[in-house]
This record gives sequence, structure tokens and C-alpha cells, in this order.
Amino acid sequence: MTTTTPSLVGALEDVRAVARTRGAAAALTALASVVPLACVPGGYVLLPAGLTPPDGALRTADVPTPEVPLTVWHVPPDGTAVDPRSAAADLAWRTGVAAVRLGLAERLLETACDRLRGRTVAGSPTIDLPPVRLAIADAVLAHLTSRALLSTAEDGLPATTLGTVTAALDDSGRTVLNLFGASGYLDDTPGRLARVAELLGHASGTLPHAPEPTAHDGKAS
Amino acid sequence: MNTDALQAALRPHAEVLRRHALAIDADPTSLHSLLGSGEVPFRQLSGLPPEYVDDPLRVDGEPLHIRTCLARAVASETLAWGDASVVVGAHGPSMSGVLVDDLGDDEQRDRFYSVVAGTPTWTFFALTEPDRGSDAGAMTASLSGDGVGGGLLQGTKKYVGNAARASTGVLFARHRPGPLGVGVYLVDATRPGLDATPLTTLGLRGVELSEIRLRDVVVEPADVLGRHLSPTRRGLLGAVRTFTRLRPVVGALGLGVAQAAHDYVVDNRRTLRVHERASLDRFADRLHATRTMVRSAAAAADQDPTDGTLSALAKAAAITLADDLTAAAPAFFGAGSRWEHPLLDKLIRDVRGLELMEGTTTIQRLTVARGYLQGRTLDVAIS
Repeated sequence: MTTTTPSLVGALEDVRAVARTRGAAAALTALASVVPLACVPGGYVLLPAGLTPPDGALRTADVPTPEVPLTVWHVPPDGTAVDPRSAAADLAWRTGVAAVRLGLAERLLETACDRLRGRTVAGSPTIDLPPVRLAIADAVLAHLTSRALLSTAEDGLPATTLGTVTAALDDSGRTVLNLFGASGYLDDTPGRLARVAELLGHASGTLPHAPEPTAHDGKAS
Repeated sequence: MNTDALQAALRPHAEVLRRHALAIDADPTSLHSLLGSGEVPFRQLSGLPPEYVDDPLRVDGEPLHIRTCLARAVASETLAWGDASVVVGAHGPSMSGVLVDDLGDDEQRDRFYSVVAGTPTWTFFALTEPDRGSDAGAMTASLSGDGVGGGLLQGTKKYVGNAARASTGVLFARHRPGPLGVGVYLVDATRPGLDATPLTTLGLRGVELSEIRLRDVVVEPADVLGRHLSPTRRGLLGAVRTFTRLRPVVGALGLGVAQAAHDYVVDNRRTLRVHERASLDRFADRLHATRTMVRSAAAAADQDPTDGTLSALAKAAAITLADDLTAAAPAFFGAGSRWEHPLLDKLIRDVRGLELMEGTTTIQRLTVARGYLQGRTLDVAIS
């Protein structure tokens, strides 16, 4: 790996910390103050109210979070090739979103462990059960993997590395959500926290690609 | 039983469920319209005993009564392909019917099925508690008295499907410490002191997961399920057989959701890249293998419900597959597909609810390991 760009890496560490302590909306707002919002045609971004969406973006959905809702914006494809500068800006934003996701993942794990410390199973503290400890360890490994890769970000992670971080955080998110049991399935914290982290990854975690022609015109049922 | 014929007979009903799936996911109250529309013969599919169904569906000319574990598994998989949320959220005896069949005497069965087979209604299976999950050892819902002479119920149950709209159901409560101290009771939902409120979930939104609060709810001696059985055959220990019968069915629901995700990709991607085709082929192999395990476990549960190892294996395999396949499906359509193809997003959310039913995959895997070490898993009837 080449020499890092300390200012960007430091900024991403701050964004990660905001996500861990204050949630997705605050973290994305903090991100936008250090990395210009960018989205290539065909892409999706999740933004809080107060952040101006990209030109031409279409409102697609709303995503509830434990704090304030995010809006999903879609920049329709325009058939033109993406110039290198736009592609680099898009990758830089995606890298920042990965840092947000990492902070949210850490927040989710901390919340899970806090909850489990107060519970028992068959008289044993749940936090001490081997399957629980293994899940916690797997999540920590995924977080550190992501953090290590983000620490090498220059103007943005390469697409393949972004994919590695995305996959690591996707897997850890599912693992940690299971630690909440049925309480994680309610439309409330922490279910919303896990879901917004997951959808941020779905929107920004991999570059848009042109799938093969679909069987039907428009959306399939 | 001709499973292929059964599956073919039920497929049109699954397609009806699919047409309504997204609307119900967006607005769970719209389930009521579907249930009352007559589009799907929910009553005949609900698992009522033959004596309560005078107009059964027919398959190959023979009346169809979905009563065995294998039949439930085939039906559940087929219909869950359409919408697992509606399969679990529909009227009918559901899980509590299986337990009443296992532990109820003739009077209790008749009392239960007279209600459920009359005006279409829901039932509940109240085991889980807030902050304790399904850990029976930590159960705090209590029944005063000796567990067979009746008493008063106190406590809270949570994450109970359909409870807020049910007419009757079964409820687990403790009358004394230890595994023999947990009884199961047939409880009318209208009894004073029983208050059930719906919860809002992220998936399986047609199910109306609920919380039940119990305050001085009267339980009569006639409500004690298993009252005619020995102490080791009633209560929680007796319900082990029911859990063995239920786990392959939950696995089958997962299998249906997994198949739905697979078929959606196949139907909506005309040309696949080489690695995409390879991925789908691997998933197809897993679907076939998992279906074999689920149906083998269901058939084994019909023969001997005392050993839960195969049931645990089936559920673990099916839910793991469903989780993997639904998570992989959106990538076939690119970023944003969870909004542009909302069925894919729903399938992901629904699988997580199935993971929580009848014990998580972690619990099932521990059961499988214990069964293997006790020499129980090797004689799987592969068919």
C-alpha cells in the first residue's frame, strides 16, 4: 500500500466516531463536511434531511433509523461513460460511507454486549456463553479488518477493497443482529440500526454495474 | 404421500399469496382482505382434523388433510414460496394445534377445534418471554397452585405470533422450579386479565407478533394440557415432541423463501455471467439437499417425535440456506435492487423472523452436535 493521506484518514476516523456515538444521520452530515457528496449515474445514496442530493437524483424510499430518517436517492443512468474525476469523487464518498458503516457496526456490537451482560441462560451469564463469545470475536475481527483497510484510504478505497470492507461489515452485521434475538426483529432500535447499516452497504458498498438485460421491461413483480 | 402431487396442487394458491405479498408487507392490515376474499382456501389448508372439514381439497381425487409433519412441510414450503408471512399469519390451529393434538385429551381437542373450525380465527403459542427468550429454565410466567388443579396466571409473554387477534391458544407457565414445573395450558384469549397487544416487526409483517400480559388469569383444571398423561409426558417435557414436529415445518418455510429468491433471479435475469450461473447452480444444489433433509426430518418426526436431532438439522440447514440465498439475490440486480425489486428486500427480512422461530440456528447446531455425539444422526432416510 502507498503512503496514506493523513487528513482524509483522520477525517474518516472522526466520521466513524460520530457514527458510533450519534448514529447514521449525524455521521453522514459529518462526512459531507469533509468529503464532497458524489454519486455516479446509476448509483444510490442515503442522506439525512439537510444534505442536498445530487443533481437529477430521484427520491426512492425512506429508511427509518433510531434517530431521524434517511432518504434514499437514485441518480438515474444516463448512458454516458463516467469520467475519471467523477469516478474518483464517487469512490471517495463511498469510502466515507464505509467509515460510517464501521462506526454503526461498532455501535451495534456495543449495544448487543450491554444487553447481554444483563441476561442469563440456564443460570449462566449469556455474555459468557461460548457461541456468544465466538460471535463477538467474529464481529471484532470484521471491524478491525475494515478499520485496517480504511486506514489505507487515499482518495478513496479501490473498488475491490471497498467490496472487501462491504462484505466484512455485511457478515458482522448479520451475526451481531442475531445476538439481540427477537428484540432485534422489532421495528425499533437495534433493528433499525442494523437495517440502516445494511442498506448503506447495499447502496454504497459496491459500484453499480450494468446487469444483463432483464426478462421484462421495467420492474419485475 | 405423493409430495409432487401435493406441491403441484398447492402451487396456484402460492401464486395468489405472491400477488398479495408486497401489499401485505407494506400494510399488514390488508391481510384481512385476502383472508376473507375466498381466493385461497385457507380453512382447508390450515391443518384442521378431518372431522372438522366437510369440504376438503382433493389431490388426485383423494381428500387432502394436512395433518402429518411431512404434509405440513410440503404445504408450508410450497405456500411460503408465495408469502411465508401469510402462511404463519393466517387463521387456523397453527403451532398450537400441533401441541393440542400431542397433549390434549378428547375434551380439550374438541374445545379447541370447535373454536378454531368455527368462525375463522387465529391461535397463539405463548412460550417466549421478554429478556429470557425461550429459555424454559428462566421462565417466570407463573400459575399458582400445583399445576394440575388450576390457578391464576401471572406474567408476560412476548414475540407471540397472532396473539393480539387470537381467540384461543396454548401458554407455558411455571408452577414450581425445575423442568417438571412448567405446564402448558389451553387459554381462551377473552379471559379477564389477559391483555395482548401487537408489536411492529421488520419482517413477517402479516404475522402480528404480540405481547401478552397476564394478571390473575383464571386457569381451570380442565385447561391443563396433558392432564391425562404422566407428569413426564405433560408440560414442557411433553411439548418436546411438538417441537420435534414443528422444526421441520419452520425449516420448510425457510426452504420456500429460499426457493422464491432463487426463482426470482432465474425468472428475471435472462443472461447470466459465468460466475453468476455457477453461484445459482450451487444454490440449486443446496436447495435440493436441504429439501431432502427437511422432508426426511418431517417423515422421521411422524414416526418418532422423541428424537429432535434431525428436526434441528433440517431447520438449521434450511434457515442458513435461506439467509445465504436471500442475501445473495440482490447482487444479481445491482445496487439499489432492494428498492427496485422490493420482493428481494422482503424475503431478506422474512428469513430473519423464521430464524427466531422454534430456536435459533445456534441452538439447532448445538442440538445436532449433541445428537451426533450420541450417535443419533447417521440414519438419515435420503429419498
